[in-house]
Amino acid sequence: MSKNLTLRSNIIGGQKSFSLKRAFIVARRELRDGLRDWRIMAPIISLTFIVPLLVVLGIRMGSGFLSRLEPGTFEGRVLPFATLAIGFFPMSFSLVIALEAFVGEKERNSLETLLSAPLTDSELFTGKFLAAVIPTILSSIYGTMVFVIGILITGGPLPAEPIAIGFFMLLGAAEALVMVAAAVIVSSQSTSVRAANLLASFVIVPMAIVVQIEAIVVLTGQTNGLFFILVGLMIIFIILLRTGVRVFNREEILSREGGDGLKFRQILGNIGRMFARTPEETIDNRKTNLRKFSPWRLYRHDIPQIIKLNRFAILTVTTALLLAIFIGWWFTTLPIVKDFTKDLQQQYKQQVVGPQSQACDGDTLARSGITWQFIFMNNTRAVLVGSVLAFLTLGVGGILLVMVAVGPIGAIGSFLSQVGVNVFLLIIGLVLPHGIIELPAVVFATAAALQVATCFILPPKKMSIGRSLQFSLVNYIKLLALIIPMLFVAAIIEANITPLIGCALIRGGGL
Amino acid sequence: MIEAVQLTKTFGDFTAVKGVSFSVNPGKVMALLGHNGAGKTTTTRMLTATLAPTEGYARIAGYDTVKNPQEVRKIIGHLTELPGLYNRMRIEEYLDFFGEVYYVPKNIRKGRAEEMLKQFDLWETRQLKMGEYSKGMRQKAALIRALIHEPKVLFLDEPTSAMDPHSAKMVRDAIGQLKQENRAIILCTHNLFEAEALADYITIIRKGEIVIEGTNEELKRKLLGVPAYTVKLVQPIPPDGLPIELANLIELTEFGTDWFNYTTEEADKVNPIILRRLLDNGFEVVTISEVARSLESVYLKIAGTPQQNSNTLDEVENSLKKVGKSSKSSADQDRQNQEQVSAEIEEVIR
Repeated sequence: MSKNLTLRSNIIGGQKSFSLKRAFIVARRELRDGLRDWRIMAPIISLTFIVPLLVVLGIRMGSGFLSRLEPGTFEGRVLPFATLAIGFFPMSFSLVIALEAFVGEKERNSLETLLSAPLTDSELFTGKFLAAVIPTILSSIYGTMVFVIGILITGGPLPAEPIAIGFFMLLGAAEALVMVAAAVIVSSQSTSVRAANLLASFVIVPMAIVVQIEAIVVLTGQTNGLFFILVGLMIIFIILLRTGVRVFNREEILSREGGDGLKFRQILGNIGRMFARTPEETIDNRKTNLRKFSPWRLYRHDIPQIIKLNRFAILTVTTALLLAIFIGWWFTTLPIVKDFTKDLQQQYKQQVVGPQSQACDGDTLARSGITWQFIFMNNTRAVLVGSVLAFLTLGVGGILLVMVAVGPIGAIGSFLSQVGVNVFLLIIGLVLPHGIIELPAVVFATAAALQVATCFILPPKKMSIGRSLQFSLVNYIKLLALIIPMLFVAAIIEANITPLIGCALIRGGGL
Repeated sequence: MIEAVQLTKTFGDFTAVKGVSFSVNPGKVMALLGHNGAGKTTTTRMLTATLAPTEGYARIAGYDTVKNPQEVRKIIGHLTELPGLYNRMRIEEYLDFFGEVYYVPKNIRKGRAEEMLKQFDLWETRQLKMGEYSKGMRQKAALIRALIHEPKVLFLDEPTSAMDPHSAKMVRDAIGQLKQENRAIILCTHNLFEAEALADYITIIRKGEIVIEGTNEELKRKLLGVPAYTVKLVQPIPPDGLPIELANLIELTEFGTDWFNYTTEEADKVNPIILRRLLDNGFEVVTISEVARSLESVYLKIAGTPQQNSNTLDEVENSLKKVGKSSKSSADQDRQNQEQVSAEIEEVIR
């Protein structure tokens, strides 16, 4: 190959323009096509008109039983809950349309024609999204209206305050937006409709939990709580929409072939290549690694690049960490806690930092059994468990674990400051010597785990969710090459140096 | 109009297309031939801006397929291997949708759709849903869709597959007409007759690499050697061969009871001499004609595993011995005979 041919980026560029009008061209065709399918029309008609009327009928028939409930329960709880539930029913068919959006077309061989047409990625994605969400929202609104009118016609009261009914409709629309956006992403990332249907559980299960929370909120009469759910749903929707457009890659969709099986060999091959390349090379999807893998390259290039890539996650974890210290501090200043720890403060003052302190007696530390090996193993285990927790909980569990671990520093600091200890010196003497290494290690590990857990939200540009997950896992493992030695050094300092500094401060009366 | 330079596409460790370069000018058709999996579709997808090349680049009407994909998509028409229609739609709705997507104004696209539906015999069936169409009708519908915006550049993947002979001819005529209208066309096909009939250039791709390219004639000459001719006689060839000297002029390749085949580089000079000598020796000639050599032979030689001919090399050698006695007549003598042969041919014709 001639030398002047440059290595190409693997991204088709120039697709940033977006026209809602052109997205609607796609949506209109989809709608027209979809609404001619009796398999879609039957549930729409049934869930919009028939089911609400059946619920009205059920409520009227069961009015005898319902009248035995506590006064106000039927009007104040049961009817609003039924209104909310009716608005949710149409969500079931929204998934059918949305999951078919891309992978269905691919199976019917019509997708390539559409992908080679002059439509941008965002126009295609939005068009497909609108085609699934419009009938769902309309069906949800009409279903609610049919129910309300049905109740009124049969002589019942207005199921909820007019403003609440409007709010329920908004909530139904928000649920539709979230479910459809998630399902369209699933469709654009699946190899077959069957795989998409299986993956749909990732949409259905969380939404089922949300609906149960909504039900509890309505049945307990705390309808104001629905506002927070609405805000939460809208935030999730915006994240999903952004993710959907970002991970939409016509090349990936077209070249993704070969059924639904897990290709371990291929995955391992990908991971191996990602290890061999620097993160930048992987993002650029370069064919070969320009710098050969070596420990030097790992520390000189890979790890700094990973830290740079994880900067937002690091910022998030650091903020959480500082917040935990602040909460710990604040908690100990609460009057109720102060009262509770009053005796403890006195005792602590005498035994630990007072003139009769035994904290630094020669064999106290030895008796405690706290060796550097123990500290190292304990911290490493905590970091790994926190990471696994983060992987499984979209990062939340990992961050909470760090907060729980670090929060006591604030609480103890506050507690000791009330005793009269110089907290500034305490931090310098008892936290900083090892903490200056240990805390960044914990932050890096938690941030990398957060990055793995949320890789689908903001994957590197035009990287599929699968590749993004592999990439962030590889980055996490590479980063361990920095984290483990840091924990090791921190453990040695914590076991051998920190106590000396601390005791010097205690004995010297500096604290 | 279409320019591919060192196009390479890799999927992980697999290289689907490697260093493919070619260009197609307006008013020309290039046939891209190759087995299934040879890399034709991947090449086409890179040219239609649906796949980005790993290395190299492609330009369509001056637009880079990676930097200006939208511009590229606007000016190309792409007929995919499988028509992939929307089965619940009617053809007019379908064409209206794609016309709108391709920026064809509403007042124009309706008329254009009608015109093409009539041209391809689909007007009468326009009320049917496309799911009810036969395979051939579906293929024609997809072709009309690819043409609805009158693209300057066309990528046609198996345009006549599944069509009856009448429809296939209709489509081939349409492609000829599009060529006349100065459009650049890439034709991916397994129908070698079609490629031979329509293409100005032929590119054979194998395992992602171009193995040979050129005009139909160039390819035949490169791969099948010099043209072959067959002579059919009225009388059978005597058992001890023809009593004339031919071996210094031609290379005999095959023979039968009353015919023989030979190859020569200079047919315009040699064929009259052959004819003259045959006539001089009392052999009456029914026909002397060029042996038809199909693109299929070229293709099989390059891309496939050709079946061995029934005549082995030994048989060809024997035929040489039997049909013509070996002679070392000088070229000068032949040149002297040439004028005489020409005169005799004219006489025979008269």
